[in-house]
Amino acid sequence: MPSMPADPTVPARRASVLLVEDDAHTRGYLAQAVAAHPELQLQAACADLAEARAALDQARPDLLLTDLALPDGNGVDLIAQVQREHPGTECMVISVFGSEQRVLAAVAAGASGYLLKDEAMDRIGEAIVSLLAGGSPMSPAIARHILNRCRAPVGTDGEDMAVLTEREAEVLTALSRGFTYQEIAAQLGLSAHTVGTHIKHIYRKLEVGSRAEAVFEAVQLGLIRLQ
Amino acid sequence: MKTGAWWTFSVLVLQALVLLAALAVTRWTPAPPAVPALASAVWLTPEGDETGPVRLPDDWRGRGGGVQEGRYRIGFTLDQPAGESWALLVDSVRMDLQVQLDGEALGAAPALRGWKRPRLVLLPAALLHAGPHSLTLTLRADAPGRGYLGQAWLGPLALLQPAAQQRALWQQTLPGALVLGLAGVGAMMLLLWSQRPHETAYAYYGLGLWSWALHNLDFIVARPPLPQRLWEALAYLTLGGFVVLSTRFIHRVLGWRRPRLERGIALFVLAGVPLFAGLPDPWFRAFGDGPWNVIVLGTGLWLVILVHREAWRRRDAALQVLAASGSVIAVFGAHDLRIALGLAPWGQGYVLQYAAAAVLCAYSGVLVMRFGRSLTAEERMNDELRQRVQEAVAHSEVAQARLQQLERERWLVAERERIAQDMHDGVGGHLVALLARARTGALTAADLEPALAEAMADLHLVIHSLEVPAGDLQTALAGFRHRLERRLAGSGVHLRWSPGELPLLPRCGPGETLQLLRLLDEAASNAIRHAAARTLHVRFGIEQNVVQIEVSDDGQGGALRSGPGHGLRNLHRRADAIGATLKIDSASHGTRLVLTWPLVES
Repeated sequence: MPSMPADPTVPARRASVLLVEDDAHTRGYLAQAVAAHPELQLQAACADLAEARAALDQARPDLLLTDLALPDGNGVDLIAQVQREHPGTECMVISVFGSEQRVLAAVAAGASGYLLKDEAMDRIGEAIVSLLAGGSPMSPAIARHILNRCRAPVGTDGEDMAVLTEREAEVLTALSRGFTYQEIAAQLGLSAHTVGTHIKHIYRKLEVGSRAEAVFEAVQLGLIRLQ
Repeated sequence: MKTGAWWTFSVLVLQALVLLAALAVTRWTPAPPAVPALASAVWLTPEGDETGPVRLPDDWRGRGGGVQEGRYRIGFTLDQPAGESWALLVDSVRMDLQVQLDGEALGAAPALRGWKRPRLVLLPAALLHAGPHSLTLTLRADAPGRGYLGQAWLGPLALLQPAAQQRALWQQTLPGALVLGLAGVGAMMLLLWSQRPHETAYAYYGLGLWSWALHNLDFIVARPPLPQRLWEALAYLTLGGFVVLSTRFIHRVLGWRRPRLERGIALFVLAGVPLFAGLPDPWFRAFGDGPWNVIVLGTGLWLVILVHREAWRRRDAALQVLAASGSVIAVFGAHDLRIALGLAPWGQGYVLQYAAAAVLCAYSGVLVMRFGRSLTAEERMNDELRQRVQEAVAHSEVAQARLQQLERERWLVAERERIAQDMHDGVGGHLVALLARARTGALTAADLEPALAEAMADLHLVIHSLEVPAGDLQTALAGFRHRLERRLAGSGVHLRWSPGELPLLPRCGPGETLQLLRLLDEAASNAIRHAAARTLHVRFGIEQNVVQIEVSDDGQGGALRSGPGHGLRNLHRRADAIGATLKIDSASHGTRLVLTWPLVES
């Protein structure tokens, strides 16, 4: 699949998005959604890792939107590479179900959020913009998972692995009970944006170091020490 | 115990050696002193007249006459003053002796029962001037005609003392030590019995040893604390008691129950009490030394033969040791019985008391072996028990693991079937309906997107129901809201969310969760699509183990009944499937659906 060139008419202030998705239709749908958003521009739409790396060599995107299962490798590696080479670039994972394990693996590699493939077109652009503005999405199941992990004792000395701030724990707890960002913001006297920022910070705590696989495994095993 | 020729041979040799050793001991006499023994003494009449020489040792039983007290004179002449102390050594007397040198009394006053011990009477140098001297020996017997004057030596003290000491060691110190040993071991056995009251062998053994210790006291106590008659009766009776108790002990060791025989022997010994109390004096001792000793020692001999026979039959080492000690008793007892019956001279006197050494060794050895055996048996039993417990534990662990494995496999199969069923009911149903519409040309482009979105939503539902930790209904409901929010976006319907606190609910597995989420999804879909609601309110909580979930809207009531498909029936079917009760209250101002799910099965 050839990569789609960026639209030259997009104004420079728009945030650039590098899209990596092997399915042509889905790629087309997502590319269309990105291009349709007034604050975004598509830098390139790639079908595999090789194309994505070539595109990265040419320009640094503001946001990488990538699938995980790619024909020539795993999107997690691409996220790790972007984190290493372009620390300012946000990474977002495309997922069919947003299932816990896949999202957490991507988060451990450095992703700040995920996007469901079947999301309505107008919501795709919003989700990307929201992420760029500093807010990350999180499902109740993932929130519950992180809470459980952080509360579970590690090792024999009964030391708590984690070290979420009190506010972060409050946000996670509310999320796990099904409240929306707006509702949480109202409950805690914050702005919805701040709630998203907290989520992003929590994701960042899950991402330690650059060895994505090791970290992912560590998180799986409950060995990781957050913060 | 191994059987065979070697065993037979060793047992025979050992028993023969023990027998020979016992016989040798009865023949053994201590080394004589370095001066020749006095061959004779002159017997004095009660009036003091010399009647002629009698040979020493002199046993009154051979002479008749029936006196209880007699005197001997021994004359000797010194050519010059002795210059050192001399002494008279008599190895044995019955019962006691008083010595005068030239009319002057020497040594201590005579005791009532000073027998069975050597006498060394000091003749001070000051009295031994040159010239003739006369020693008068006054012998007092315990009864008329029962006196005995043993071998006698006269000479310098220095030459007699070693032999006197050796005799004192054998005749006084050793029996004394044996009495203490008997009493001590007896006490230990009784202590052991107090710890194990059902093992009466220990009690009989302990009491038997005490009985014998009392009997042996007669050989070392010169001045008994009781009247002579009583003291002698005690000596006879304690020997009888020893045999009674030994019989019981041996029966217990052999594992025999012979209460009649035991009672018979005990009755005989008890019958001795009035006999010894009532018989007049000459008959008293005649009975004691005669029939009594014969019967008592005869019973003892019978016991010894019994033990020999059983040891031989059972090929039991412990019994052989007992039998060997029995041989010693039998030989010593026969030796003493001959003396008691007058068939042999008093001579060295009774030796049965020395058999206590052999008995102590043998019986203690047997008890130690017995104790060791039972300890070993107990340990073996413990080991076996431990091993059996370990085996049982290992077995049950394996069984447990197998059970868990089976349970897991069963659960996986059930789960696979459930998921297949879910796919069939959910996504499968959607897609098949869609396919049918496409094939019949009933599918328009506008229909396609919502139909596919619905199928996709159901797939999300299935996946999420699997993702939520088992029993975490709280998070499952939160996920429901999370997904619902996506569907509500742009629909104009506002969702009010009032979650309660739910604990982990073990009854709420993935299957139940999915049923519940589908039910809620269908209820919400109905409110959004058919009731034209503006606000949807979801709230839930738990009270007294009953989960209650309420979905209400402000749309047109009755939509559920009039809607397409079997909406209402489906909702009830799902509620039934998880054991919940569904109550639907649909009026013109809206619909209120209350699901009640008791978590304790009735």
